Amino acid sequence: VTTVSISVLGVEVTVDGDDEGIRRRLLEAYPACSTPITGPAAHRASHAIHVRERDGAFELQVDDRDHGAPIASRPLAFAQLVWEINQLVVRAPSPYLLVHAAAGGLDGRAVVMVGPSGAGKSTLVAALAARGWGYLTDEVAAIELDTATVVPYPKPIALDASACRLLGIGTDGDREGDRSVKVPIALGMLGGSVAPRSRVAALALVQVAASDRPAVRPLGKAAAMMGVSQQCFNLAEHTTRGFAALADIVRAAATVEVAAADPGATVELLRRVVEETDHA
Amino acid sequence: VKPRRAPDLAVERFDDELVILDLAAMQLHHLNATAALAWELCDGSRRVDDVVAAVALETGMPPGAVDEAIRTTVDQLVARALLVPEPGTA
Repeated sequence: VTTVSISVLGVEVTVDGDDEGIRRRLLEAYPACSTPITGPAAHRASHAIHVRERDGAFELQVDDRDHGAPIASRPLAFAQLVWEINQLVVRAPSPYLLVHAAAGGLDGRAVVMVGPSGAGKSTLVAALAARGWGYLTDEVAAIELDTATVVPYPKPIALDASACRLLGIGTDGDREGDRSVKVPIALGMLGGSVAPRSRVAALALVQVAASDRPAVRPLGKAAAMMGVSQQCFNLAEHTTRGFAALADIVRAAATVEVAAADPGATVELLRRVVEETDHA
Repeated sequence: VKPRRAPDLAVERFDDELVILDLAAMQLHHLNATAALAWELCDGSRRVDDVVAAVALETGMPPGAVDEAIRTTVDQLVARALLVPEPGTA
C-alpha cells in the first residue's frame, strides 16, 4: 500500500491504495499542491481516500464512505479521484472566498474567469498556461479578501477531447472511446508553471460561444458582481463582510464578458485587458 | 401600504444599480436604476403613491409615465422579500 498526501488551501487529503498507476498520476498531477494555510487553525480539514483495484476495476472510499459502483478503468478512476479531492476542498470551511472560476496570473496580476461548467474555463486557462501565463486554478479561484489576491490551487486541468485537440495534447488513450470525458491533465504537459499569489486585475464572465469569433466585451460592474457572486461556493460562510469585500474587488478590477470560441485569440484579448489595468 | 426595506440584506451599489444579498435566504438580486431608486425610497414613511411621485421628481418624468412601472416594481420587490409592508399600515 502506498500513500500520497496532498495539501491544498488548508485541506489535507491522504490517498492510499495499492495501484502504482494511480500513485504515479497523483504525483505527476499535483506536484505543486502543498499550499500552506494562513489564518485560524480551525479552517484546516483532513480527509482520507482509499483506492482499491480489484480484477481491473477500481473502488473509491472517501472518509469511509463508498463512492458507489466500481470504476471500469484507471483513467476514469483517476478523474473521479480528482473530482472527489476538489469536492473536499470546496466543502471545507475556508478563510478564502471560493469562486467557481479558472484563473491565470501574469506578472502578479490575475484574470479570474467565472462561469458555469461547460463554458470553457479550463480550455481558456490551459491556453493561458501554454502561452506563458502562470496557472492558478481551472476550477476554484481562492480569493483572499483582505488582499484581493488569488491563492494558487493548481489542480490538474480537466479537459475534454476537443479542448485537447485545440491545444495539441494527445490523451485519446485515456478516454477509451468516450471523447466527452474530461481527463485531468498535468500542468507539465502544457509546459506551464504555477503562478504565485496574484492580485485580481480582471474578472471575466465566460459565456458559451455562439460563433467562432473571439469576443471580449466590457461588462457593467453590477452584472459582474452578480455573475461572480452566483458562482461563489461559500458566500454564506463569509456573509456581509465577504460580500462587501467582493464588491470592492469588482469595483477595482476590469470587468468583461468573454465568448471563448478560439482560445488562442481570446488569450491575446485578455492579455490586453490585464495590461490596460496598469494604465487605468 | 407603506413598504419599507427588508432587514438582513447586504447591499452594494454600482453607479445607479444595486446588487443585494438576502442573508436569510442567501439569494442574490440585481436591481436596475429605476428599481434601485424605488427600493431606496421605500423607507416605511411613504405610501406607494408617494414613491411614484418621488421617482417622477427624481427622474424628471411625469408621474403618469412612471406610475404603472413603479407599482409593478414595488410589487415585485415585495414578492422577492426585499420590501415588507410597514407594521400596522397594511
